[in-house]
This record gives sequence, structure tokens and C-alpha cells, in this order.
Amino acid sequence: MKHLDLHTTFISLVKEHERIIFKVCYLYADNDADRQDLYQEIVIQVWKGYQKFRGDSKFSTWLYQVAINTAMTGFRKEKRSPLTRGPDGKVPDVADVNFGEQETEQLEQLYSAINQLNDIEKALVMLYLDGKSYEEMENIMGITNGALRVKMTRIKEKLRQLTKSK
Amino acid sequence: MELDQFKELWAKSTTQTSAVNYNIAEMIYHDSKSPLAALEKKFKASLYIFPFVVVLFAGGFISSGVHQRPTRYLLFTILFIEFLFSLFNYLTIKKIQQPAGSIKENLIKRVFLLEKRNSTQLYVHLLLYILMAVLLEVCVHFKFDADYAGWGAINPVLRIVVYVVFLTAQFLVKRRSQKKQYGQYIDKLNSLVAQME
Repeated sequence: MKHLDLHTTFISLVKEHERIIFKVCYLYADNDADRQDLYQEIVIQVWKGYQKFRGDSKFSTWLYQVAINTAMTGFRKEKRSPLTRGPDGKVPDVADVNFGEQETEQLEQLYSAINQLNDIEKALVMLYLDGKSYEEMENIMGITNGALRVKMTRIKEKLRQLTKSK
Repeated sequence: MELDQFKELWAKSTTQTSAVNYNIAEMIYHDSKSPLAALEKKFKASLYIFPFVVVLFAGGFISSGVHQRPTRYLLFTILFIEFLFSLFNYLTIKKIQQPAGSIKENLIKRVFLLEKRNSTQLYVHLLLYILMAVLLEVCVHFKFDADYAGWGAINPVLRIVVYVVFLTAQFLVKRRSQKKQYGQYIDKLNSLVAQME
């Protein structure tokens, strides 16, 4: 594939699956500034890997892997990039999205509870809420199906306790 | 709160956030700011130094012929080993950053390669310093270089003690500095792997 084609395909694929990156940024960075930096870091890592991506798995599966991996291992809060500054580059908060008062409250409660989970649990909750099957979760995370089921049961209970105590 | 109840709301919320426009085309041509990318740059830069060393050594070779001072050969050998080590470092860090299947596989690969790099660094440097000490002793014994006459006049036992103290100190200092530089990062990766068990 010519470089220009590769470039164009890459951009449209990332745009199409951008919500995956947003969700990862949302869960692994504490504020808008860090989210924007993490977004850029993920896009750079995805681009680097994309040139060698052979399509053995679905693009979305691979994107989850690279994005979660970057968020957990490669991201460090450093100097901000000028590319992601300014009002146009802002990732909206949950409250910015037009939900009803009750929905906003529920979402905030959910995010606040998820924030208290460890990095692996956060990733599992995200995949679960995204409707991924245990097989897909196994491919992305590398945790066996049986262990995933046990973990998910524990996480659900943990979230129940966390929200009950509020 | 039941997690399953949130699936719909979650899907709705994360779809709406994608309305933001980032300039992806421009972003991908910028350098990564991750700590590993910074290390990769550092090792890549050190690779460019070696050709200058070769030119300098070749210059000395042309002007003095094969009868150069043994120190020069020693210095060249050390720099050559350092060059090979920088190349090994560069390739390792590059390999670490390449995605390798699942998240767990990636984490395990990172820990393995970082630990391998660290232990290789420790032992390569130890070997280099031992090589330096041996060559220094050879120079002293065969009187290759008048500059080493002063060192040769010192009691051999004392010389050996100095070598041992120096080798031990550099090994410990390097190990401590590695722990400071990479220790926390490796511990974090190991704790992530543990969370997956």
C-alpha cells in the first residue's frame, strides 16, 4: 500500500474507532490536560504499530490493546503538547454531554466508582460495558476466560459496595 | 448499582464524546513523549558518536602506523564495546515499544526485556572494567608505556585491592542507579501483571 493510502486509511480508521481512545483517556487520565496528552500519545503509538499491523485481529481489538497498553505503561505526565492546547482540542466532561440530571448523576457515580478500581479492573469494566464477549476480552487482555469471569464477578461486587457506601 | 444497568448509558456517553476534532494527520508526525521514547532517542544519539571515534582512530593510525600506544587500542576496544552495547540498548527499547499481542503478553515482554537490559548493562560494564585492569597490568608488566611506570611502582597487592574496590563500587553504584531509574517502572509493570493473575 502506498504511504498516502496508508495514511488516509489510518486516519479514517482512527476516526471511526475514536470513541475507544476517548474512553481509555477518560479512565486513565485525571484531567482534561492529561487526557489530551494521552490521546496524542495513543495516536502516535497506534500509527507506529499500524504500519506493521497485519490484520490478524479486528482493528478495534488491536486498538483496545495499544490504547490500554499505552495508558498503563507508557504515559507520563510531562510537558504539554501545543497540538492539543486550546478550546478546540478539549475532551468534554461527562457533565458537558446533554444528559438529564438523573443520568448525569448516575454516570458521575459510575465514573467515580470506576476511578477507585485498579488499572486492570478499569480496563475490564470498560470492555464489559462496551459489550465485549469474554472471548474478545481474553484476546485483548490475555487473561483466561475462567479468570475473567471470576474477576468480573468480584468487580461487580466491588462496584456495588463502592456505590452503596456513597 | 448493577453494572449491567449502565451499558446503555455508557454507550450513549462515549459515543457523544467522539464529536471532538483532533488533527490526527498532524499528531502522528510528532515524537512520542513516553519515557521509553526518550531513552530510544538517547541511545540512537550515542550510536552516531562511534563513526567519529573510528575516524579519529584511523587518523592516528595513518600518522603513527601500527606502533601506536597500547592505550589507544584499549580505548578503541572499550568504545567499540560501548557502541555495541548502545546498539543493543537501542534495539531492545525499540522492541519493548512494539505491541506484542495481548496486554498481559506486552507487560511480561516489557518486564523481561527491561530486566535483561539492566543485567546485561551491569555485566558488560563490569567486564569492560576488568578488561581495562587486565590490559593495564599487561602494559605495566611488559613496560609498553612509560606513563604507567608510576602505577607499576606500587605494590601489586595494593594495586589488586584498588581494582577490587573500584570494580565493586562501580557495580554497586550502577545497580543502585538502575534501581532508581527503572526500579519503580518495573515494579509498576510487575504489579500490573500480578493484578491479572
